[in-house]
Amino acid sequence: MRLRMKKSSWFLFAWIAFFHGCESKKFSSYYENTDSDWKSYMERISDTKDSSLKNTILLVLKSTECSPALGELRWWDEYQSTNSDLNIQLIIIEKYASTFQAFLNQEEITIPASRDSAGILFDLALLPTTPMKVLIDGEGKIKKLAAIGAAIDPTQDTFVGSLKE
Amino acid sequence: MSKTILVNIILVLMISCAKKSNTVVETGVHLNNITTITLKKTEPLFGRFVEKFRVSESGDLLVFSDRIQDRIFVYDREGNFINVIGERGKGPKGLISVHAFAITSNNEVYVFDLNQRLFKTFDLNGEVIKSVSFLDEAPFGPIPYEAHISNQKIITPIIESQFLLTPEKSRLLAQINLDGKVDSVFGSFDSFAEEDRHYTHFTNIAIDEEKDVVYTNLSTSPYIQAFDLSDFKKTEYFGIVSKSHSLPTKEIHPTLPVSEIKRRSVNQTSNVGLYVTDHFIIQHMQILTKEWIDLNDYSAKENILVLYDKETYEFSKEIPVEHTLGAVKNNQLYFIEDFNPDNYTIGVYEITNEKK
Repeated sequence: MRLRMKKSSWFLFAWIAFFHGCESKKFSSYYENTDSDWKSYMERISDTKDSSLKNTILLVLKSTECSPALGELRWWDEYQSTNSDLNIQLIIIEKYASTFQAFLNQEEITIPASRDSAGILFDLALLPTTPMKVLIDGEGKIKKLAAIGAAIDPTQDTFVGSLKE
Repeated sequence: MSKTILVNIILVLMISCAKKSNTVVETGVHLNNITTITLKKTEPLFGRFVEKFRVSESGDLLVFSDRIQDRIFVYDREGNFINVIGERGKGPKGLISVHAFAITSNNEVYVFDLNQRLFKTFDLNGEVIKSVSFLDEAPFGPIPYEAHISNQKIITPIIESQFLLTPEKSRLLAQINLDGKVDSVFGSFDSFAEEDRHYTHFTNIAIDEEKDVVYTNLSTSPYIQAFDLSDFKKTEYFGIVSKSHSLPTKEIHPTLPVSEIKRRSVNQTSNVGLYVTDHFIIQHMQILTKEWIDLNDYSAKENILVLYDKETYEFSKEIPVEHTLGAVKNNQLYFIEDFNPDNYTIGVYEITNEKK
């Protein structure tokens, strides 16, 4: 077995362990946020105004995420190119504009992306950590929260499918 | 009474001023700024350089690894862009995961791509001189960015595959030939790891070529081990718990909620680098902050240098500094003063010891 042994491996280990276990219990307080909370956050970090977040998938990452998360990000980028009915938005937590731009260039991402330069997301307690995805349903409720790139959610179809539940 | 208050105010002002400047830090040891380098903007943009970078033997070239693009950027000492080395992918120049890099005395750039298990040698024009299969069957993984080259050998801290979840039981170091052959796997983890309440263990190393010795320092331990590279035996174990050193009072375990891991990690120290000068062994310690944990903002960490006398191994000084130490070469300390890619700035300081 080839080991990709970065210093972040241990954090990755912690992160995987975190996402195992009782998901709803770990995330319960974050399900109480609504599309309005997310909308006001999005307005703080970008120029977007009056855009609805209903039926939206938000992908929240840092520019330094590990390979599995980046792999899933590319999957979503491909997915949105063939599923225009679904609103997908990317939020990158990154202090520097040039790093943000280099990240988008490197990953060749076409999903509309916003930059949170100050970690406002955590101040507002919208999510506990990154990388995570947030599914907001047609009523503006948080339908599902999950890790990006985690082994427990290998098929993103499951995530999208929960919109139809 | 009023004089006492005045003296106290002056003392407070002096202490706070000393912490904000890299110049004179404590009696006897001085850091004198000799130049400041601002990297000129390049096309392509670089994204985020790994904090540790390499300086050529002459000091004329600075070599950085871009964590986002997994490529190597080379600049000269005036901050002029020289070249970007490597391409995305698996082609001849392709890099997927830069795990270690170095610049040799004849200005060749070594890159170890862990994903491809290839060790590639580039010239400064970005052309591949050599590419060899590397550590393909090795029963260990090297710690990133800590591979050092000495006498045509690579010395790197490792964790053996079978001890991935219990690294304190693993052997500590490997010496590898440039053709990929493993000469020796040796050393053991600092015993401090067993009493540590943190689950992360990575080791920093520094090589003293004059003595043919490798020094190692566990990220959480105040102590330093020394191994003789001629026979791979441990020769020294030294260090003190300096005043800034701080470890969690409660165990930090990966099964804890992330918010709790974050809470317990704030204000804890982590050793992130180990360096050797003519007179000192320098331990680079950082204090973790909420901003660092939330944002991965390198500049949000506090930096402290812990100095030991290289001859006696006695503790010399603990020096708070304002910026991150990125490299040490030829007795010069390279501090990253601004991480913004639009204004990436490095202050170069000479360390002097009046007692010497």
